[in-house]
Amino acid sequence: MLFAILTVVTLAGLAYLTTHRRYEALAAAPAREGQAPPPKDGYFAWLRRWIRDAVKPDGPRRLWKWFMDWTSRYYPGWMKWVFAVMILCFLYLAASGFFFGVFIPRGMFGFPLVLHVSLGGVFAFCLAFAVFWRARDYAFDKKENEADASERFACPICKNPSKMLVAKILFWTNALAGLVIILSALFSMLPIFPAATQSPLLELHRYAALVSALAMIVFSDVRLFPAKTK
Amino acid sequence: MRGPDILRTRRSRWLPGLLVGLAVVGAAGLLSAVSNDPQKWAGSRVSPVHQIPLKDGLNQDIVPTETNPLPFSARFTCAPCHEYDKIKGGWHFNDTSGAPAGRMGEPWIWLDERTGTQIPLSYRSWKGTFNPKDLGLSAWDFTLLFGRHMPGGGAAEPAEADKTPESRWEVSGAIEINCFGCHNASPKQNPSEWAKQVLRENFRWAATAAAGLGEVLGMSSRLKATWDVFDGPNPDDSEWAVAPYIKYDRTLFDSKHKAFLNLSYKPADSNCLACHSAAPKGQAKRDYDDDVHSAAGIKCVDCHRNDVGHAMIRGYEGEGKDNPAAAGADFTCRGCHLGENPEGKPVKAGRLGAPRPAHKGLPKVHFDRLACTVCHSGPMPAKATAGVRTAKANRLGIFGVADWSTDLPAIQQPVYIRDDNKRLTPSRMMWPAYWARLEGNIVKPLKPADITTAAGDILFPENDAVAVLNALFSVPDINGTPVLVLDGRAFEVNADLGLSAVAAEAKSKGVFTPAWALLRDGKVVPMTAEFDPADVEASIEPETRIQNVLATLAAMPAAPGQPAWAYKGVVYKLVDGVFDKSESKDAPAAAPSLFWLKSEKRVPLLAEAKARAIAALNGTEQTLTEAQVEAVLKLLTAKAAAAKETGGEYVYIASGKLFRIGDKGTLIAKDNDAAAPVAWPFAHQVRPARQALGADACTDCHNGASDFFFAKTTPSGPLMTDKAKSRSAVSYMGMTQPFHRLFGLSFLIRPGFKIVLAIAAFVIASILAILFLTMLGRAAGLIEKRR
Repeated sequence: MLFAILTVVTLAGLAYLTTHRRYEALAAAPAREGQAPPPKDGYFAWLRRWIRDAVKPDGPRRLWKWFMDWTSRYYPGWMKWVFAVMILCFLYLAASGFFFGVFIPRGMFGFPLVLHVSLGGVFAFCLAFAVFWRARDYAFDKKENEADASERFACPICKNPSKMLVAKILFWTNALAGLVIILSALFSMLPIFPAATQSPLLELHRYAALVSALAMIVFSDVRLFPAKTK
Repeated sequence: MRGPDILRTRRSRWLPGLLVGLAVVGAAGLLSAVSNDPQKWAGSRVSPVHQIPLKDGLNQDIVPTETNPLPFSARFTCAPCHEYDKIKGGWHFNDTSGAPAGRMGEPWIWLDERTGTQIPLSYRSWKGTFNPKDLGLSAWDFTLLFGRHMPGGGAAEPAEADKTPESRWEVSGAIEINCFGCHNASPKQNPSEWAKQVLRENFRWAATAAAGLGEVLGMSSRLKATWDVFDGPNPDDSEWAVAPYIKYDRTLFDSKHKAFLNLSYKPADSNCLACHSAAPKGQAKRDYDDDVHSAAGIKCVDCHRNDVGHAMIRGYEGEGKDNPAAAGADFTCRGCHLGENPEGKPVKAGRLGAPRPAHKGLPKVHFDRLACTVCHSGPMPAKATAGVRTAKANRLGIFGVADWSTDLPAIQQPVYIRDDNKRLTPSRMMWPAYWARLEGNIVKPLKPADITTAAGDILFPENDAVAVLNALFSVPDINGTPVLVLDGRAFEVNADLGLSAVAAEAKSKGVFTPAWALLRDGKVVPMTAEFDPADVEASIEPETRIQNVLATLAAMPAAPGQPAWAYKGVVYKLVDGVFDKSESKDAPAAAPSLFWLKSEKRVPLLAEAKARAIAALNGTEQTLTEAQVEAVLKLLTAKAAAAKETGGEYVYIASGKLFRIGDKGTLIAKDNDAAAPVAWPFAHQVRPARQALGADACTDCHNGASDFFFAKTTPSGPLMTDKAKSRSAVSYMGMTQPFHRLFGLSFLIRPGFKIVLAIAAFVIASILAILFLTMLGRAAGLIEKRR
């Protein structure tokens, strides 16, 4: 129950915060020629419009364009398919895991579970590849501190960290959460720990997945789909 | 001493005895009111020696040297220390009292092999069982049917209101709770003697005889319904209708007529197993392993405990709801081994030395969805569920000259079914079989006796053959055992006046025209040697044999016609007792054939339908063929039409199907809820942990061809039919077969899957470690220094 509440609250809360932050940034940005005017009709109206735009018939085409742009920069050649599979697996794993974890008291079972486990293995492979491939780009250095104000989050507590620093932290958070997810799944299948540890392992798996999903939401906002306010 | 004398003697002692008894009961009641619970354990772990006076049903001390002493009564003998009426509320005795039914247990199964009846009965409201009262079975009928394995009390000790007019309780007496049946530690305790006495209707004597306290002779069943226990011996008959009487074992009594009773507070396992044995059908005794708990020295009652009220702990989860006396008890698998009581609350595990299993790598879902017994109890799953015989159903444990055990009712195990806790539980399953009247959607079972009467010889196909074979025994100089040759087998009459196939070859496979022959030196030979009827000299000997055979058959009491013998164009018969040889009007018979001549028509000694039934059923556990069912249903339907019965039809239910006569006048089988199987969970035999399912690997159950998930269960019962539909084990589990096929197959790649996960984890962990070390080096200034 705690997991269900935490999942709903944190996922919904973070989704709100990121979209609302994006809305505010767009609303505050000056109007530019050739682009949609800054939203003036409130957050929810903007959100409705944003979702409507996302599911327009040309949505897949735009998504494909984004995918090709992104992968040409970071996952060239055949590696783009590794990235694509990783994202698709992540989406299914998160959707199935949270749906059953939150709404089905019995937890996941049947074909969704078989698919979840199978895609979990594929995701683990892709994640390991992505971490290996992108580790150098996300290694911490002092350059992230040199970002100008527009590339920083307004955070009074954290001294306005640069978006790149946040992205790096999120990347490694995702890697760490992924490692916990993989190990908790692997150990539950090996005759190493007694049955009494199965429940803690499952809880660990779930909470790590929640952390991973939360990190992914922010990472998407910061790196994958940054708001175009300039 | 004659009956009336006994009566006078008894009554002279009866009144003061009653007064004393009342006074004692009153005083005991007063005492109990003062001390609150007179049977409260004071703390001594020593059981008292039971050197006590035996009391009869009138609460009189039994004097073994007295003429015609009465049998002992548990009610009065045990009463000074144990409250009989409180014990009567215990699990073994309370089925007729409306006590909570609790988890489904093994029902009593009303078996009538001849009519193909096996009906699950219970006074408890268990799913799929019939209340005996609803089928017209009185307490008397029920006791006669099942008293052999009943512990007394309940239906065997009915209230006055439940004593139906046709019953003979006044003659037999009631069966009081048989304390000795469980608590007797004497090796003389004899369940077979109990069964024998019950079948003789010596109800009130059965406990005395079975306990070895004395020898009981005579049979209530042979006495007139007006006989009373105080009448004493039957003066008119000392050989046949002998009234029951007892010769007490005087060595058990001291000079004050107190008997030494070797009683045990904790009943021996053998006493429990007298009624609760179960073993796979066909298994050799030497191959049978004890329950692992028994092998470890734990007795049945170490877990299945009870207080003075005898509310036994049955040991299933959630029992506290049904049996408040067991609430909070932790004598479940989980209680002793995992430290969870039936309510799921933690208790101290390890009771009686129970080891705590680690269950390493076993996903939690197994604990949520399976009872412990699924993996740990009963036979290992095989390609198909197997037959099992239980003491109560198949009359096991009754030994004597005759074999009491029966193949039917057909019960199968293990079938995994969800219990009230939604957990899979290994169960035994049987398919009800009975004749019934279908009125609308309601199926009303009919009594086997009614069907036997109505169906006549359809249900007794071997009777004609047995009569002929028995008659042939008396043919002069027969020099062999008469046998019936049919379908490649030879059948002889057995001790039960049935037919048994003999181990001799006969060349008539697929031929259902009966032939009569002799079994001589293990070989089947014709009744006469081959001869030429035209050769007068050579035919003297065989024709003498033929004449003898015909004369013997003609003398049969129920001969339906004149016997005749046809051979090579010649017909032999008796005309007014004189041997007659004449030309046959029919085509010459290649082999000798015997038949009845009825109005000059040839009628076989054994009708082909009966021959087919004999050939089909002999040597199998089935007792009915579809042809017989069809014939009986048509007969019942015709009788109903003649009687102008309306609003229903006769049907037969067996093997999971409802059989009826279809529109085309042939037998058809349909699905019907009334034919659904009845299942009850079992918990023993518990196997050692190393023999548990999954002890070797997950693939014990999770593989593409798993016996656990895909074992076939084919409904079985008294009917020989190919209409019974096999089902996969997974369907009884409420799961889907494709999923478990796929899931099972996924275990083929699971090792590789684990390797992928391990490599992925290693790569990510390594990079994270490098990152961490890099950050640590930077923090320590090592990296800047290196640059």
